[in-house]
Amino acid sequence: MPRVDQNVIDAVEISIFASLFSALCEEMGAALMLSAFSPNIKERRDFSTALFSPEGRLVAQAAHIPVHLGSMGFALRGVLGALELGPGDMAVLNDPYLGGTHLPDITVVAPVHAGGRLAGYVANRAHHSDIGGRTAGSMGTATCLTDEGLVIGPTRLVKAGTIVSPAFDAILAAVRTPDERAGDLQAQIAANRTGARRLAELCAREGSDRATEAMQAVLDHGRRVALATLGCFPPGSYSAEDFLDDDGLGLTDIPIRCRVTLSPDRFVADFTGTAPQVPGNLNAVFPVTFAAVAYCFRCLMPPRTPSSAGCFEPLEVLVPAGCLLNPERPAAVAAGNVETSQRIVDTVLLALSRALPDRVPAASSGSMNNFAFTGVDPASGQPFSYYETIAGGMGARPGAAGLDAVHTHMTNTLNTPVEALELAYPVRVTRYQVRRGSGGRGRHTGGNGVVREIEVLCDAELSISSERRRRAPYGLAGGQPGRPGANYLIAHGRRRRLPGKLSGPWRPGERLRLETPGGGGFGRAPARRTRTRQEP
Amino acid sequence: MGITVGVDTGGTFTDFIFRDQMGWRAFKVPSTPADPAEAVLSGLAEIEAGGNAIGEVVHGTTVATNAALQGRGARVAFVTTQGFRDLLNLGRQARRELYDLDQEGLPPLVARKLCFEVRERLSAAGEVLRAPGEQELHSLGQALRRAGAEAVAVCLLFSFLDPSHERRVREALAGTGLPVTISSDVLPQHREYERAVATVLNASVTPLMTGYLERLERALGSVRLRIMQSSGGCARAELAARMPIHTLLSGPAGGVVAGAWTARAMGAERLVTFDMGGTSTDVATYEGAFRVTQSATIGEWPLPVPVLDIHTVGAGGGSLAYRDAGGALAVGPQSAGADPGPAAYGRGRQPTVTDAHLALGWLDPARVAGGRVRPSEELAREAIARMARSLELDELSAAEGVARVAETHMAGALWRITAERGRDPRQFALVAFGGAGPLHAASLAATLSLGRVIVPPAPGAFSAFGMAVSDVTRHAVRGLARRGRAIGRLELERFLAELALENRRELELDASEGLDSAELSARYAGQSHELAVPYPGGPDGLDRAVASFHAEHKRLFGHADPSRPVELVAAGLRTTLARGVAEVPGPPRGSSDPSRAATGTRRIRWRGWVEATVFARERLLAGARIAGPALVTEETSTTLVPPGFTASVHPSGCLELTRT
Repeated sequence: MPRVDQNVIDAVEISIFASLFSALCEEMGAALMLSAFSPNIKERRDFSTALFSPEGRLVAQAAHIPVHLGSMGFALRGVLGALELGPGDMAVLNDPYLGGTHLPDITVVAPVHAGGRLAGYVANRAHHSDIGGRTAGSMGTATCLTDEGLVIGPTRLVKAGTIVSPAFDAILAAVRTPDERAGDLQAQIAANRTGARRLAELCAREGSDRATEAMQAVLDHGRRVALATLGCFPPGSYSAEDFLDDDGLGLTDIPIRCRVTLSPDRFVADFTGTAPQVPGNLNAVFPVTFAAVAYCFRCLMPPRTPSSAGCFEPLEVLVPAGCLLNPERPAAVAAGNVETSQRIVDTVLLALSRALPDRVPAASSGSMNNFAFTGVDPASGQPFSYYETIAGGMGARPGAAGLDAVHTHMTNTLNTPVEALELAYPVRVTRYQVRRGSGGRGRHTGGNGVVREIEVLCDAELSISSERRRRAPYGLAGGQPGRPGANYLIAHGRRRRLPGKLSGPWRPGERLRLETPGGGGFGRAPARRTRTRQEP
Repeated sequence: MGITVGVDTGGTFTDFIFRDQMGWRAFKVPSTPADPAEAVLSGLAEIEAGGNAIGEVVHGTTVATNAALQGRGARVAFVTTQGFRDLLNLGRQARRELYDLDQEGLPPLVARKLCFEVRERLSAAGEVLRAPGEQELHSLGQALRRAGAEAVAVCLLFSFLDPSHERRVREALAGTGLPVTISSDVLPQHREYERAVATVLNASVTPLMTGYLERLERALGSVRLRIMQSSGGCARAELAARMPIHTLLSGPAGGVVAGAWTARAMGAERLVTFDMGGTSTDVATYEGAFRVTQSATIGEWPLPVPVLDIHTVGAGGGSLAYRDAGGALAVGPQSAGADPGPAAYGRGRQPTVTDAHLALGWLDPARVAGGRVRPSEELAREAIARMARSLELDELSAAEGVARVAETHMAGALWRITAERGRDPRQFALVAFGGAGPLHAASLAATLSLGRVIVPPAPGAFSAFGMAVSDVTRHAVRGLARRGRAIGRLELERFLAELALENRRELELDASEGLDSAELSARYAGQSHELAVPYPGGPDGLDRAVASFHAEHKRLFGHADPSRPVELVAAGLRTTLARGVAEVPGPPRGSSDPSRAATGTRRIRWRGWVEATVFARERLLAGARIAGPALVTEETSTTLVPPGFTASVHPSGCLELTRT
């Protein structure tokens, strides 16, 4: 592109800089994905990367996972509140109460200096399949944060370009699979180095002042898109409630209540009335709650809007302290990120459906159907640790059926191919299919869930965290709810129903069968039983 | 032995290029989508009418590509392992868009009632857990016929470890008379969904492709027909008819092969090809060898077979420019396509990149597309002006803005395939072609500090040229992953020897013909993305390949761990038979003064208005040097030589742009 010589950032330059900033994040993501070790990061793309202005505002993000949307800024603030970062330094953090989300999500932050001053920050967050703790995949039932794994407060991981060995080793010492963790952390550091180098080059080319101005212009652009979006909404207050099944420790039917107030320049989500924090691990720290609301708002913006803090400036998320959605230490939080976040979306969208009945879909499966196992591979003598999430049905839309067997809302990770799974782990997948008939009926049918059956070939520890096993994903406008999910253990020819959340031994020959929920239907089904969808 | 003709079927035109006593000659014939053979045969007839005897045709066809993209192939039945009937439906479980509530799913590749299961299973170690039963296979054949299948795709779990179950299914179905494709023939490698898609796509386009190629061969008589493949070489027509999956990206591959020719002609060691077309821009690198990937896509489907690694962005001449919701200027990825097309052609009102080119004076309306359809500069400017008002910009800034935003997307693509892959862009020459590529080449090279800019002759028919000069090639792969046992050197050598035999059999080569190059896809144990490294063979071949892997990992990702075990996931073997294409004669040598080729002047916009000299490319002699600002026009393209750049005519006919 010809060199920029004006001083104002005009409509053309906003577009050019937004592309450059987002390309920087994509490049960080490519570096992270390709060099990481664990399938969870590489194949499932459970990570995101971000660029921040010198003031710590999100300028661009490459998120493959909406649950990271707009929430990495909290981690940056957590780090900057505790550490002074100099050139070449990086900090690591996973403490959910200081800007993290749940312990497996490890965030690495780096300041970028150019021309002797701060040019911004780069950061990336990746889901590690093991961070120690009592249960497989560090996702199992727990009542206290420290039982869920290693808690890393803001810690200097790299000092002037060199890894701080004690900090690095302390992380590896606390986990089951230190080699894999070391590889993944190295990849996270490398990704930040890539991003930092690119930002420094950009500052050298365009001038640091201009780069900072451009960041501000991109933020302003995001705010204008947000206001243009809000301008199309009918002002008013809209309320809804939905429920989590249980916290795995006996507490059931946990309410989430939300009142969304729309005005031409604000989008306020007030969760007053939601359950207080629970003994189990369903508590969602504030950054997770914020990300879920940001996701709902983002879905109503035009496609291809770059995600910056500007887009979310009109958002106000109100949650009382000590609430399920803004818990206090030391509440356990592992499933808040993956399960409660989905229910927050269900609740906010249900409220929004009252304002925008022609745009908002019925409830999707509402669970990431988390499934993890660990053990020692008899073939190699090496410990293994595996984590996956299983798709479900998408809720029907006002104008179309829901899609079958896809990840919805706050996640979008890929599955692990059956052959890749069996080559790497001592398990055998015996069935993987669409769960027919699980989508709610309606004028438009909800998408169907999934059936996945896996048999283990050696002694292992199993952990499941799933929702919508009792309370079904809602239909809208007269559509039927989707079918709740179900977990079974099949052994010696007998099939036993398992609870939605569990951790425990998994013995050779035992087959686990996970049936994931279908999406809700939309609109009243025609009186006569006619199919609204063609059999694929 | 007659001449060789390269024929590239495109959406609008079918390009022909051939060499006679006068040198290389290119021309275009309107494509005939209903029967692409018509355009091919009429162009060939034209060449023969000119007194040339045709000995060989190398053809890049979109017959299979279009059928795959539009789902117009045969009605395929899909057969897989019990428990996995929905394999194609489940895909990788991800939705296409993160934040689009109204998104559509992929159409089913095979209807569910045409998906069948077989009670059989192999383990990840290759042991038979259950063999398919004769009775079941017999009734499968009947069920397939009842369901109305026209072709069959078989993909069983772990068939890459042992193809015998898939082969038994194929034998059992022989009685049905249906064409059967088995996944272990298409791609014997792990990852069942991608392998299944490749198998189904191959099965579905086989009947169409077979019919098309048989018809062409009949019409061509004794003329030898070779078909361009996505992996950057050509192969005999019979092979393409049986494995059309390997032709799906043959058009863009032709461009990369032509780029490789340019590299040799210009003595460039590393180059990046830049092909800017109507709806998108394709970029690829060449560093003395072709870069092959197995992560390509065709439309929304994965295409896991080895193809040249070409990165595509949705920015081309037809890309639409508009004001986005936040008041910024956006370009693409939506395209005006052929209809309504750029505003300058009078049917659409929204401005495109081509309209910006016209408004900036970069294109001479009288010479666009050989003067067949004349665009209106006035309509282009009006469309740009309408958009400019909404952006609070003046018309010229808006037009420049469209070009700059489009260039940002293209620069991003060039960056991705060089810097993001551990290459230093400054060591690369840019080879620009396609209708609009040479307009942006100088500017992009300056942005990315690329070493040189090369505009080959006939940039608008460059892919056809690549086909005409391509080698005979087959690239075979074989998965090496197996649970519980690492592969040893002798076993690897045996696999490679089998692949070498297979390639020769398929290409109909003698044992002594052709050159082999082997590569290994390797990763650290626990990783799931592979890097390809050369396998040099010999007693220390494995050690050297592993050492290359560590080095490549370090180069790409900044770290390597030689103490960590390395897994070999797949072996690839590329067999190439050079067709001995003669030197390409360039234009006659002349003086450095280009004025004999000047046709006039034109006011163009380049940070202010400047007066550019216009040259007719066909009249330029080797050795001529053109100082910018200048435009070099030819039948299929225009090259912009900005102020501060000089274009020199190389003896090969290529233009080289350098900063003055």
